[in-house]
Amino acid sequence: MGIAHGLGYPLFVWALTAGAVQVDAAQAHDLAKYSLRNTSLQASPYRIQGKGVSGDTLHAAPLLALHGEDFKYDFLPSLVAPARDSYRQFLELKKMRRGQVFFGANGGSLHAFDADTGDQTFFYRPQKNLGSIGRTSKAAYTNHPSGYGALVEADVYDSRVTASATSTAWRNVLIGSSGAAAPKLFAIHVPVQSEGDSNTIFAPSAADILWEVDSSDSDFSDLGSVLQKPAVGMMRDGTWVVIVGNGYVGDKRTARLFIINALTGVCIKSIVLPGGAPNGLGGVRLVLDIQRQITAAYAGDLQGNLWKFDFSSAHAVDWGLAFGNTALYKAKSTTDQAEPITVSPAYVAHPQGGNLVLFGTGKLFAPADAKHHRVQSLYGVWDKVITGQNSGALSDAISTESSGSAATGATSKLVQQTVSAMGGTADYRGSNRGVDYTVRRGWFIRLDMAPRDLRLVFEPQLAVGKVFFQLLAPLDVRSPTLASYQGKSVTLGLNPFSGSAGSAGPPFAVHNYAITSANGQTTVAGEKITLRRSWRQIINRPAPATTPKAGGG
Amino acid sequence: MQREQGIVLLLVLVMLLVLSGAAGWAAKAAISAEQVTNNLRINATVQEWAELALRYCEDGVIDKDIPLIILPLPLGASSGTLPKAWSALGNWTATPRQTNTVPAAQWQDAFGAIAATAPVCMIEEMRLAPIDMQSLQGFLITARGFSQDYQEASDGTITSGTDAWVQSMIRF
Repeated sequence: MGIAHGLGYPLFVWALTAGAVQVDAAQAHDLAKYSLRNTSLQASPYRIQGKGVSGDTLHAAPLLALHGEDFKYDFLPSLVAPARDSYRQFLELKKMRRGQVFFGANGGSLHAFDADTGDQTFFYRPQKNLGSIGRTSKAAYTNHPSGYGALVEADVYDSRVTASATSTAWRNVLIGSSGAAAPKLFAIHVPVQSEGDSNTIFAPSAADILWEVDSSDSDFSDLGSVLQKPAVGMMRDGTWVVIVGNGYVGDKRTARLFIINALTGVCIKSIVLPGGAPNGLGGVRLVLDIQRQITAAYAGDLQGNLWKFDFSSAHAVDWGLAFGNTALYKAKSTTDQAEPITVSPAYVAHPQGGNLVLFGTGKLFAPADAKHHRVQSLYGVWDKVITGQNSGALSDAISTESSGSAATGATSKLVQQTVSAMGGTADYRGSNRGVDYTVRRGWFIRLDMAPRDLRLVFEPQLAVGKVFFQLLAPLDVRSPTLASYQGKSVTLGLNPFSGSAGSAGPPFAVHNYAITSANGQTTVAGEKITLRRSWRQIINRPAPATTPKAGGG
Repeated sequence: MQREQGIVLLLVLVMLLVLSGAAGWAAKAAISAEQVTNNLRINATVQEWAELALRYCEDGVIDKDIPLIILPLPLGASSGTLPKAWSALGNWTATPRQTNTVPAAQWQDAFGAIAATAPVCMIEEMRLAPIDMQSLQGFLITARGFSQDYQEASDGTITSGTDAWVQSMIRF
């Protein structure tokens, strides 16, 4: 257990596992207070921390737990009927709570603030980060990235709890990762109570820390710095899981996928990927069937493999790599070098069944990455296996279907689109070649246009029938002028099925291409979503009821 | 021969009867054709008004620029089923209101005339499960247009005039 605090600053609650830190109880108490930014301990004996309530934040996007997302778990199968039938009630409960803003700060602590008042309501420092208290308290402290990775909010059903009319077994949880700091993952329960409850508590407390795991656990020894969002959902056997790639650990470790029980933190399965070290698995994208169960997942590794994991079975023993341990696709550059995949792929349903998996290559987390000048690529590859069905057949992988030379990877199965900068403007011109899906399996684009060193380090976004890749070019160290010290960003909006501009252009623009989402409506550069009538019919007048019904039917 | 002279009068009287019968029939046929035409016109107009109300609610749901009453799927109804509030006539006159009325400016004719009862539409939220990463929103929209002389009893049955019903499902 780490340190957690709730209900106002002076009354913090803290709990230390024996042996976690080698200090006596009084010192531990002082350090805990210091890490809560108690000013009386600053300057003497510890370093002055500054005025803020938290450390500096780096790469840590805040998360507002308010109404929460609607995960549509009311479509779950009858296997979990109590969960399915109570989910919409739970959504109503979530709408009545007071928002909490969570963010991870440097120094290794997670903070929560009341969204209405701004008061700090929760503070959490995982056990693995307790050691850094000492370092951050020293006068000779230099800033060290010990911040946070992405936080995700998820709904999970705790079948161990007996639900009643007044209490639900649904749990709103926050799953977080270490980011670039010490390898760890944790889950925190965010209370969901309505405003009218007598014992209304909106912020988590020490008891709400469900679990934390780190690389010192034998099951998680390959866990590295998880920089992408963990994925959460329900497997076909009814287990709620967190699925995460092992992240990045330096040169000695192989890539792995962890399947973790979302409520207990127990490692249900860890799938080792072929290819050896050094490697690391990046962001995971879950594939859900229409009943909202996980049936598969896509993730890419540093060796350019886009893996598919087959979770179509209701038995944990069957979960594993699809296509007989072969990657769906292996991304290679024109010079036959593996292109690292770090961010979660996206996917859209393919009209001929299966999914079109959209991903790009490039990394930007190690200090040397900004100086890598290899041309990266974007891909859209078709996974032909119908969603929910077993993907065991080796022949369905594109990496083996290829008849191309090793130098081109499997690009012979893909159509190449080109993008080139138009001279003197900030606009781009893209090719518009057709993709014949009877013989081809998708498309690819080499990011060889200006500015140099473009790469994909953000998740692709889907909106208005297009896929948007936000590309980033780090500062150009080869020609260090003042202007070049700014990173540059290019957003490509593409037809996901062809990788082309499409006819409804102009799809490319470096600037002024805003994707906005307000009131549930997505607008791209002023272009509204077109009306989609599924059907229209003339209907008969309904017969009058004997007693007219009021209310929603 | 004198006795046969009365036949003319009789013949004329009979012919007059036939002619006036034919004239009466012709007039009646003309009137009923006009009534049929008028009914067709009313029907078509009422249908158009219903369509207009349908588009009004569809556009409103998509653009979200006018405040519309949208009925949520009741907690008791299972997800993925078609909503049914529209099929209870009482919901069309219930308080608080569950329907949306098309503003007069959007459906008056060239002379500024409007019917006694404005077209209305009811929007019911549907829950749809997405098949890929794109979120899916669905609405069942039912719309009604009314004739000039439309009147209904408290249970929703028509006492005078007519109405037309159209329905669509939109998703985006």
